[in-house]
Amino acid sequence: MSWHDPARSLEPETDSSLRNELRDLLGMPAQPANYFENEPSPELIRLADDLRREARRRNHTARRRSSWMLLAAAVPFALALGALGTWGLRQQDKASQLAAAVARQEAEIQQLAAAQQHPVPQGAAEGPSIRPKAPAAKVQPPQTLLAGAARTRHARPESEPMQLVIPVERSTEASPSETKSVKTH
Amino acid sequence: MEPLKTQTVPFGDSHEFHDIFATLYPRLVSYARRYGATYPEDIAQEAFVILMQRDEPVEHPTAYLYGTVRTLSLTERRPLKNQSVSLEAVVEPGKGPDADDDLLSQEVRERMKALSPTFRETLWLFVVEDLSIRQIAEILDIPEATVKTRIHRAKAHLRNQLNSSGGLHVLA
Repeated sequence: MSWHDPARSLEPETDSSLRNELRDLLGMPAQPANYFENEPSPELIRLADDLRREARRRNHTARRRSSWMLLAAAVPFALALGALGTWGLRQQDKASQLAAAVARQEAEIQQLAAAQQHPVPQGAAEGPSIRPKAPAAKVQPPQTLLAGAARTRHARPESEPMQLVIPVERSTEASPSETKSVKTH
Repeated sequence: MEPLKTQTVPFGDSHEFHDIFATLYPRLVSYARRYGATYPEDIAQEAFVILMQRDEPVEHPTAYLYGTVRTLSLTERRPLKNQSVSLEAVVEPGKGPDADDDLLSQEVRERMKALSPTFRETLWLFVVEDLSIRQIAEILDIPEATVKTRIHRAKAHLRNQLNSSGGLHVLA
């Protein structure tokens, strides 16, 4: 660090003349009186060295926190935030998939119920019908549902009345209450 | 692990530092006293330690020291400020306790006293402390243009004083 201050040595002439003018106005001598020009006395030298030592001591004892330490301290927080964000996105994905599955299942059930409630009469295709075909045409279940419904119809005897069947996932292991022991001959 | 810095005090030559210290220390003590500091010597010494403690060198060490002394002095006076001590009492040159008023004549002191504290402070640094406008701007933490404005207004006030007292002919 240089003590020779460029701001003072490179002072414009206008500033110097302004200072002299002000000195005149105040009634001070034109040339700056070196009020404080002192030769370094032994006391002042001792004091200066003491202050220098004190500054060194403070430099050694002061805790230094460098930038990389601050960055290292921030890493766990960043990792935690990232993990939390990933987990949240995954949960959101899962929730949207479940919601779509439920909606699809509900739609299938409704369409199936509609198909069961308004069955197409068997003789409708053979001859002219009195009933209009418009209501039957309104319900157009998808082919997969129709196939499923047909399978359900074929599985039961013709004599049984048609029932609404709601597919339910059941466990593969039968509970004791659902089994019945029979003797085989 | 990075070793601790052993040489951070930015003063190379001891002899140069002793000379600078011998010149600046009494001025800083006087400056702190003018702000009404109770312990001006402690404040001046603390300013030197703070400067030497810095890792990065400052552009204007003298201005930095003056600014630190000013801040520390005003901080020391803060409790008194809360007891409704006006700025007039704080920054008036030559009014601090035990201020060395023998530096200026009675006439000069009277003329400076007539100025507002803001102008007086700037004028004091410019004329008595012999600091540049840039240094004053750094000490007071204001733009250089503001320093110039204050100095020119102080000059106008002084001229008015002399005109009203009929002393302008002396300058001519």
